[in-house]
Amino acid sequence: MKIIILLLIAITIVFKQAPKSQACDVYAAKRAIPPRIFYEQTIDGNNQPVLITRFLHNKIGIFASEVAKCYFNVIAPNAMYAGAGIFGVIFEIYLAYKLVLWKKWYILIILLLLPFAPFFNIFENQIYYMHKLFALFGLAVFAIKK
Amino acid sequence: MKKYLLLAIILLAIILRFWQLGKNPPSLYWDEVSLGYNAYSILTTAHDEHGKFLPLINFAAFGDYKPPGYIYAAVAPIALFDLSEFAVRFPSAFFGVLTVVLTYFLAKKLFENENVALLASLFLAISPWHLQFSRAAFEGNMALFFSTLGIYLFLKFATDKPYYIFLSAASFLIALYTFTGQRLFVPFILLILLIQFRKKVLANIKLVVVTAVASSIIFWPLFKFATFTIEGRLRFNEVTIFKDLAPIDDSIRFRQTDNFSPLSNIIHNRRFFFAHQYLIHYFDSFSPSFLFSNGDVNPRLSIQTVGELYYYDLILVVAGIYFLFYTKSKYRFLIIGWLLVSPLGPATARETPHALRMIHILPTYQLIAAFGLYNLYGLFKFKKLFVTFSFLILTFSFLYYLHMYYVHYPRQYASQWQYGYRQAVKITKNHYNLVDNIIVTSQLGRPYVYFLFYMKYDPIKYWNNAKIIKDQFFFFDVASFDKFHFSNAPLDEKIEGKKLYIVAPGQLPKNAQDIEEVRDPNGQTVLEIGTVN
Repeated sequence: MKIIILLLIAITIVFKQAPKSQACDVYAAKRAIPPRIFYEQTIDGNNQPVLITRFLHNKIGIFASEVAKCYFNVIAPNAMYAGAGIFGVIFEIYLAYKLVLWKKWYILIILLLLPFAPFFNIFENQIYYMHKLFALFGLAVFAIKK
Repeated sequence: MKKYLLLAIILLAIILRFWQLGKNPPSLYWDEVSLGYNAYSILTTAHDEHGKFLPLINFAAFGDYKPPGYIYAAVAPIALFDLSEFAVRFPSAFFGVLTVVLTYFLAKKLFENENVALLASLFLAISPWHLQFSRAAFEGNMALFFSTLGIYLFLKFATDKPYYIFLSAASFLIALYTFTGQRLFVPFILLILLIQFRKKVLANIKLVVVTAVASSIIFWPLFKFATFTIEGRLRFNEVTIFKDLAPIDDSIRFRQTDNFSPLSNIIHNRRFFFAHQYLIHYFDSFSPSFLFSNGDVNPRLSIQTVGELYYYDLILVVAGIYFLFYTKSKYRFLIIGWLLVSPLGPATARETPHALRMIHILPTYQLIAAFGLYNLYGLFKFKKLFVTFSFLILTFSFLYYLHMYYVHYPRQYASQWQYGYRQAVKITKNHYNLVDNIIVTSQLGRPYVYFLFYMKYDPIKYWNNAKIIKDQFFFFDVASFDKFHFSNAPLDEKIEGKKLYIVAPGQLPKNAQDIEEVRDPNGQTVLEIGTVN
């Protein structure tokens, strides 16, 4: 019975229809810099020391925030749900938790770095399949443990 | 030493919440003005703006039927500081500071650790999420204090003396009578508390039942209004995903493709489509972009350039959750349960993630982050380096937030706060005795209440001469009172005598004289004012 339930869960994860991923890459991030930096520095105006303005509103900071947005788009619970369904979310989180518990830091680092790939136009359309894969790993770990 | 640290944190919380309270956000939003004028009306006449004597269940206001808690809380500040921006926002800022203090005691009770308690209260004191709502008249922020107090007192009931259950119930009831969002939070958090402390509850079952019955009696009028009246259900029906037709359309389309076979009716049942929508909205609440990057998409609920939490909190919250389980923290079920049930109510709405509707999730993130930071500190070998790094990164994040809040936010988003009415009323006062009629555009939204508020218009006079229309959504629309006429097309109004027009840019009649402009902090004209003979 347990095997049948696990198989059914695996089927729901595999056959969950994945949407198309949004374009959020290094080019989009670079394009966002000039208008933002111009707008933010204009608001700061001439009354503020230039050093403070450049410290608070610089290219690196804006680029980093754009990278973070793209990264968050990929690791968001809704991205997991879109890619692997409700069971996918549960088992992906379960996998991450177990990896921390077993101190498998290398695997965990790979798991955390992979969502950067679409930012560099690698696996940009396969990102939802990545969630399916991790969810299935999580399910397998759960099955073995139980 | 630790007492002084707590005092320093409270002082910081006070400064951050009260400094320039009336000036930033740059103007009062219409809900704030409505709360303020209703409180003023109660203070001067013991009736609300519609002439109802001391309402207990709700204030009709715009037809949105505001809960009474905040309005009554604003009466004393208005009596003390006059009808002003500061007085209207005072209860929110005041309860914001109290929530910081309460977080200290709550964390101390939950973790039995003074350092974690201090960190948690510090994190809430500087939280962009909490500051945003403490610096404007948000009922949700006041209700947050009472729901958190309810949780704290329930803990006291379970660990100290049983009679605390009465006080806990009273706190939850005040929260329910203060903010509508609490109606879909309190039942869930009570369930979590009952499960966490089931042994203690069973041991004091008589006391618990008596409290539950007494609370139900007090809650009944509000429940009856919210459930059995059109006005009460209106707002929920307006925002809920369960009134959308798209999932039903999808369900029919899918079943049609399968020729309405019995199996298809099960697989493509509309309830699954609604469940799917609900889950999307639920997971939205934990969107990292919302939490750490941009915040709420509504500029009144977030400054847009900083998330609801700081980036560094991401590490601390993840670490905190891990340590809660790893150390088998006594109250991990309560904390994680609180975190997970908070979005259950807000997820029924279309606009998600919504920082205001799920404000009751605070201070769980701060509690978890504080626990995470404390345990990470214990783990690191180079403790001084870790402390320096954490201090620098948090200080930079906080200073960046302050810069964006005080320098950028009022300039970029003044229009979101209906900027311009205060200035327009000031100009109107100079012309009031010189004109026969004042015609005001409704384009900025609900202008009448700003004229009532800033002119401290006598509520009794207002009840007697206001022309109020109920629109198709049951909202009240004030067409005129006294010399004032409100219209979306001010030039089409057929009104005799000398007139003062207050209109959107470019809409003044060609023969207008004494023209004045109201500009927002960015220099854009928001209103034009002129007289016509």
